Amino acid sequence: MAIQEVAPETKSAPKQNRHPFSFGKLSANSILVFVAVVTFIPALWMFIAPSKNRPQLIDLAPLEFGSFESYLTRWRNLLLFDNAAIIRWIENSFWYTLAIVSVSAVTALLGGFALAATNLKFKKQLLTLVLIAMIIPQVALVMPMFIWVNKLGLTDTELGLILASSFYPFGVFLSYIHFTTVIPRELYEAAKIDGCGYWRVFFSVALPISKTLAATISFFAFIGTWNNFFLPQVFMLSGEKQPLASGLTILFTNTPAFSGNSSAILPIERSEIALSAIIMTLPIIVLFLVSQKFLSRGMLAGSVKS
Amino acid sequence: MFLPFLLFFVLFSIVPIILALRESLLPSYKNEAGGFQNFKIVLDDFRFVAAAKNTFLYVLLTVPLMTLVVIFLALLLDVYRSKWHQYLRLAYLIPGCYVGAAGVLVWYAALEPQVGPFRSVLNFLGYSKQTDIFNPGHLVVIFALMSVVANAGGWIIVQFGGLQEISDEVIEAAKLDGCNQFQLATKVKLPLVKKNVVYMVILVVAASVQLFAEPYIVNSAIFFGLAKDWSLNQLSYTLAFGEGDFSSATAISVMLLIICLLAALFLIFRTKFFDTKD
Repeated sequence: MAIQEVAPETKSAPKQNRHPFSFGKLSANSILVFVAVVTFIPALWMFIAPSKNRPQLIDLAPLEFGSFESYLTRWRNLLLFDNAAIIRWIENSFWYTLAIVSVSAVTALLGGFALAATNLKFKKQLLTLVLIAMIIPQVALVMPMFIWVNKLGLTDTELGLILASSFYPFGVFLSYIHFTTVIPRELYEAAKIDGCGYWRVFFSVALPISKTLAATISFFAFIGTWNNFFLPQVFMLSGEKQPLASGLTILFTNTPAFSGNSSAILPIERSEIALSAIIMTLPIIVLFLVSQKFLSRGMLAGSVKS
Repeated sequence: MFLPFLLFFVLFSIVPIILALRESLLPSYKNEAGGFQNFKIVLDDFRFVAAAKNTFLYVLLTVPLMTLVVIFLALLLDVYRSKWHQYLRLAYLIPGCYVGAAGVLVWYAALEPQVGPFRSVLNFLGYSKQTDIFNPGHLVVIFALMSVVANAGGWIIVQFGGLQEISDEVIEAAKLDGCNQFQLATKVKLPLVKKNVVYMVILVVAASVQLFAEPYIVNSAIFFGLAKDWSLNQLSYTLAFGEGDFSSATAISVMLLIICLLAALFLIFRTKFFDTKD
């Protein structure tokens, strides 16, 4: 009886119309939208703040727009800080991130595949090590890493920062989950019987159906690297080699934007600082927007139903 | 194929850890004999006790709050799946875009009771001056909120992804058995995604113990001196680069590493994290 009631509904109705209007649905959606709006407001403030000068920032309502020209003025003011240091920081961030994400993604894809599909010795032990390494946050290794990189004579060098940042066990773990769950074991076995080596299986079987995985790993590596603050703060002693994340702290500290703890006479106030924060944030937001498609399927869901 | 990663593993994880262990036992100007006395000196430092308390409270607040918020929202998203929810998930990710200096700025503005976007709410709650909000007593709550709001979006996607993997048959069967949405969530869905939740808790604990950027930036760039040596990692940084005492600095790093390591081992082996995957 009950089955008969349910069966036609699941058969005929497309997924999103499965739930007609109900009070429960309305409340659930209201809560979800409310949270989204509240968490979005500060970001909105950040985007609007540079449209206003200092008096406007106080006089106008917090989310009231000033003018578009104001953004240009803020940008020009920002360039006054330390011979347009912000441009150097942006360039540094770009190159560091590109290098680190590439190395992390390649080693992670290969590492995860090796753990999932090859006859690697001590697999279980290595996997446990990867998991432990993944759980220990990168921040925990900053001080030990500094001592090591210093011994290698690579402090304050791009190479030192890139090498120290490219160890990415989380990527290996993601890749391992993907290659164990999405690709059936029989496929590896079959490929092996056909005389394919592991490298061949990886490149011609595994990799072509793992674009989402590669994108997901790069995505998370990108965010981690772009936003990484502690490591460059410790590793890069010279201001001109800083990436944006740690460079901005130099900007915040040495301009009168906050509590006036600086003697520097620069027109860098909160509107300018907000613009610098937009520059820092924009690449990540753009990345979120373009990767929405694969992210919405869920990071853990390789073979998702949606 | 594992070799490239293994090289990074050994060179940029194992070797630094061994060096740090050694460094933490080396003589310093504070302790010419070196050895485990270094640890005792750090533990006796009054700043260590304060920073440890702050860090502990921060973890205690962040972990349950994050878990509740993420699970609640992920379950809500899962109950009535709609196409337009993808925009909501995107919106939850937005606060994760501004971390570090940008994040501190945005939070500074959000919690500003005179010109900030939430001023009416803050005024209603009785906060009218900046110092009503940004004072030492509130820091732990502010940092915990920052962390939850910034990181919840990513975790919601992870947990929602896990929930999506539950097969429709299981859900339909439970519904036929008379489960309401609440029972469905607590008795069927949550047990099935327990592994993902455990995974999240481990990572959030480990990350929270290592708090550095936010208090460092608040202290050095926004309110000078407000959060001096607030977290353990900050103290480690001060000891190393402010006082040139690398032995004490690495002693703190080693202690934090051990905490993370224990948390990892405990949760991996206690919860049999691997078992269903092999």
